[in-house]
Amino acid sequence: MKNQPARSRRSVSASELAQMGVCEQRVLCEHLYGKPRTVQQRADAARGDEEHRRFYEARKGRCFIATLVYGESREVMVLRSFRDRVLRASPMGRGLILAYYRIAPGVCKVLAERPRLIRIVRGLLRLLVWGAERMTKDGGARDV
Amino acid sequence: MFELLAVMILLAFLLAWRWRRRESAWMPRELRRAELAYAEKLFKARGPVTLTAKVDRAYRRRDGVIVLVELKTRRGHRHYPSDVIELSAQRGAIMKETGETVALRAYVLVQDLSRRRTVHRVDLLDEGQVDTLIERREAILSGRLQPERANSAKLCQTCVYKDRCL
Repeated sequence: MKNQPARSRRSVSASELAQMGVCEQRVLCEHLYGKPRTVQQRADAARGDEEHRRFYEARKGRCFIATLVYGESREVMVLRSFRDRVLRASPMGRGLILAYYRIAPGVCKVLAERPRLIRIVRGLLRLLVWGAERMTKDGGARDV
Repeated sequence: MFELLAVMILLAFLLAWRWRRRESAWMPRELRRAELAYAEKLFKARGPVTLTAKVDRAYRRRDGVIVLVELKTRRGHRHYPSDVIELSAQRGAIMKETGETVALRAYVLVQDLSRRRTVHRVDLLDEGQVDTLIERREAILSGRLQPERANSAKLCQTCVYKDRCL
């Protein structure tokens, strides 16, 4: 279930309230007898959960190079949002993320000892941040 | 290393372009330039009965008004009164928790088994109507009010409670 079940009569979730628009008798039966589900309903619910997961998958994670270059900043948030909302959406993008996570620690080691190189990478990343910000304009990083 | 970075940037832009086309295909015009404010976020409106609502997506238009989008996976491409109630409850919960203005118009995004999507615009109930519905539900659960039956015979035929229906 997407919405949290009510813990008592004094609490109701939006999805539970929505059942009032289906059948009030069923609302009472669910309250009295619990919520048995048919095989088909369970399958539908599982499919719904999976589609929600696909549609809204947005996890926070590591962003090695950008964090090294910018620290915890707005730029890092933009790149995280780009990674979660754009790259994670396709198998190719997920492969790219995995590849990045493999090489990023090594790159960070090299960068950490070369401040001048960090400045160059910062310049290159600025372009990526600008593009990422434009691409994810429909969906900012906030609360995602 | 720089070549690799350049290739990664290029690939990322290519993916972003493809994703954006696919992702925004369903989007109504008014949301295309709106900002995603909340995704899969739980809101609580405390009161005599606490209302909880998990919002699928909420976009903030340029005028600051929030517009709700609810994803439904169904065989048929249609929306139901229950969708309107659910979105109306979400609206009430967001408004009470954040104080933000939420539009009385929302969207139900219906996705079928083949993952084809259609979007349906719906007009929501106002806060007073949602409160009335919450009170009615409380009255039914406490036995103070007789519940009404569904108008659909088909719904009754497939209902798991059909043998217990009062």
